[in-house]
Amino acid sequence: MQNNTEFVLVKKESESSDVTSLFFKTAGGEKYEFLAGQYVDIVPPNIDGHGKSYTISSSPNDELVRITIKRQGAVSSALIEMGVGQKVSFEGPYGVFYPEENMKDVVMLAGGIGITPFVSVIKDHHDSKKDTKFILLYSNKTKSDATFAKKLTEIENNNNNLKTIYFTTQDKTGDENSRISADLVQKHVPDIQDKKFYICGSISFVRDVWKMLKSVEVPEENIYTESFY
Amino acid sequence: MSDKSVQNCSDGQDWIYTDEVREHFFFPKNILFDEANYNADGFGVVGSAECGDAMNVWIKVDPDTKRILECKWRTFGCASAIAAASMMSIMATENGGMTMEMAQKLKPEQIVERLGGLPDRKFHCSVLGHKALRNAVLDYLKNAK
Amino acid sequence: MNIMNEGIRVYLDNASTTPIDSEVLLNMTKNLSKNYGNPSSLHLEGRLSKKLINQSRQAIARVINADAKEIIFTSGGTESDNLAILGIARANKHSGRHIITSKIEHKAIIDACKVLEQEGFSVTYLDVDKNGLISINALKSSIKPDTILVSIMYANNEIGSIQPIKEIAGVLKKMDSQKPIFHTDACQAAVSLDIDVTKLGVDSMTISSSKIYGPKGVGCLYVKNGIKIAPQIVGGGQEGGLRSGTENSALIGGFADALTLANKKRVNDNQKIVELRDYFMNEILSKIKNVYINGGMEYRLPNNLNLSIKGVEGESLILMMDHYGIACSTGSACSSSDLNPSHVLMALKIPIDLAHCSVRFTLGRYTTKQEIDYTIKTLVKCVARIRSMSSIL
Repeated sequence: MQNNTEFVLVKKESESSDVTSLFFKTAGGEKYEFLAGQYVDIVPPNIDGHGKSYTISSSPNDELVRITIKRQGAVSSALIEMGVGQKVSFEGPYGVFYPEENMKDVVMLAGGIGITPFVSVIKDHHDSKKDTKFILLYSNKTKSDATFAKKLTEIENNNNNLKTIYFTTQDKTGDENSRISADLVQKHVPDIQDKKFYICGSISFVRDVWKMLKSVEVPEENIYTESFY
Repeated sequence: MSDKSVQNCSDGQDWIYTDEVREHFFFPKNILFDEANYNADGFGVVGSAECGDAMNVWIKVDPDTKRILECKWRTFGCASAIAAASMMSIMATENGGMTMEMAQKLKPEQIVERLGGLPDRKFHCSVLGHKALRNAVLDYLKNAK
Repeated sequence: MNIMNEGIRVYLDNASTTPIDSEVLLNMTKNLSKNYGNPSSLHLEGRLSKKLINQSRQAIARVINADAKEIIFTSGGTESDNLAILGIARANKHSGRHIITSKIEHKAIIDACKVLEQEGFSVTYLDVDKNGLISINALKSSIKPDTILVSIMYANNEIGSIQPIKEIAGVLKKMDSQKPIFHTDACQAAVSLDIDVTKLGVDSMTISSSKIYGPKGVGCLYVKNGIKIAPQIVGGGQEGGLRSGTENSALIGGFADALTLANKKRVNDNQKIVELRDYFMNEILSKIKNVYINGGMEYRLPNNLNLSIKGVEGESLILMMDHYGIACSTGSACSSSDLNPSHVLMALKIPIDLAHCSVRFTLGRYTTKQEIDYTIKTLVKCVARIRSMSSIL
């Protein structure tokens, strides 16, 4: 396991009004080893004390390491405002939020920026031609808020192993125009008792989806969670 | 302050949290009282005084079995945060102690279930417990190399 | 000491609400039972009910030195505040759209102002200093030609700070241009301060029964004759069309009795309470380290003590104190439903970590020295216990 690695910011891409992707390469030029779905701890320049954990949204074979950040406070703003060429350290990679080799049917439930580990895992599986089947239930306020929708659609069109359902809570641009509910999960996911469920998003999103899955008797050992805070 | 012999003076009213939370708030387990003289194998911190919740977790790991032998903590936070830390420390050390993998995989929801449930607005307390233990484990793994 | 359910109870949260005075309760119960008529009815039952309301109105007017016609009965402090802000602003918007208030008002005032901002009004929220007081100069500089309303609470519920109401009234009176209407929320002040409206110089004032040993669910808004105000609750036309709804005459009677009693007992109550409060404070400061008083002592309600105890999160402290029979409250984030620390403590600019450690004790008419001694002992123990497991300090 690695630990503190220095990175250089190579480019920035705006994904939406409050979400930005930062692309890094290691200062030493070596490849950064990590598993899809893992996160790093970052203390941005000009911030005292604790930094925050951010999931790597790129997949392990991508050329650059991508961190996709929603602007929410001091730390996220400081990161988004970094300049190309600036250096920053990542501690890690950490985390165990990725499907195991033997899992064949995985359901991913993403709330907003909670998509980051999932896009990494999905692309990684697609690139390595693994045969795990993914159903992704992706909840946002509107379809245009769905970060990486374009990439996900591209993969979906080229791969029978991915099915994406967009949930929109504030307008009717999604496949389903409401929050993720027990009925809708059962509608889109056959045999829910046999699936593995991965939930990622804000604390309240993860909490509500977990409670909802428990209410339709999904076993606790089939549920994996990662809350962003 | 005598312990079990002190009955809740205002009994008869419903506690606003579950019995398990009340138990772990009034009789918390595994607090580290003597920081200076504790040789931890791993130490994790999460939160801050500014946030209103801060947890410090210390673990001792058995060098042979690599399971958590001891899990101690100190918390600045509300009743749910204190109860979550206490319950987390029990879960980390029961049944022979968790392996590093098990400890990293401990979900906040498992802490909530063992506590008999938490009010929605207190769920983040369980996330803190999970994260603090994870940080202690990561610290141990870093030092163990 | 109150013995409830065979346990000790010490009630030190009188700023939240007060127990009802036993005489007030007795009278009110009689009225609830016998005097049930609808005050708008023409028959005897109705007329008797109406009489009780009129007598109550006159009693309250006497206490605040106003005209009976200037009192509007409502369901309590929040409704009165809403009526004051929304009613006065909307009725006077042809004269201007600017309102001045403070950052430490009750949420009923602040949120009503936010509603008006959505309607195109602009609002200045004045800062307070570390004593919880507004600056008269800042008020003066924020007055604009189109300012129609100034609302500053007489005394604050969290830190007990008492604003210079007379001085503010004086400033507004001296204005050459259009004088803004001056409203004050006197919910916390009514039980211990003089609320004579002519002395204070206010045009409008909120009083709540639940803070003055009266029944909950009733209050009033004083509105000086001539001030335009738009009713917010319409229907049967009661209260001169300014607040519709069948009046609860027994409740109103209870409110009037409580206010009359509070006015009578004010001076003696204050003397006893401030002595106990100061004793309480000094004992705590001498027995517990790293304790900070929130707000200044000079212009402060006699019953209020708001402290931050470093390393001791507020919710955990009040739950433990409650376990040992003591009722108090906190401004910490953990205790609120929106997970933000109290806006009043934030306005005082106290360090945020200390805001999470705040605890408020508000003494009352029935508080005894024995209760305070028990509280001190218990507080010392609870603080020690919580600090022994705290990761801060």
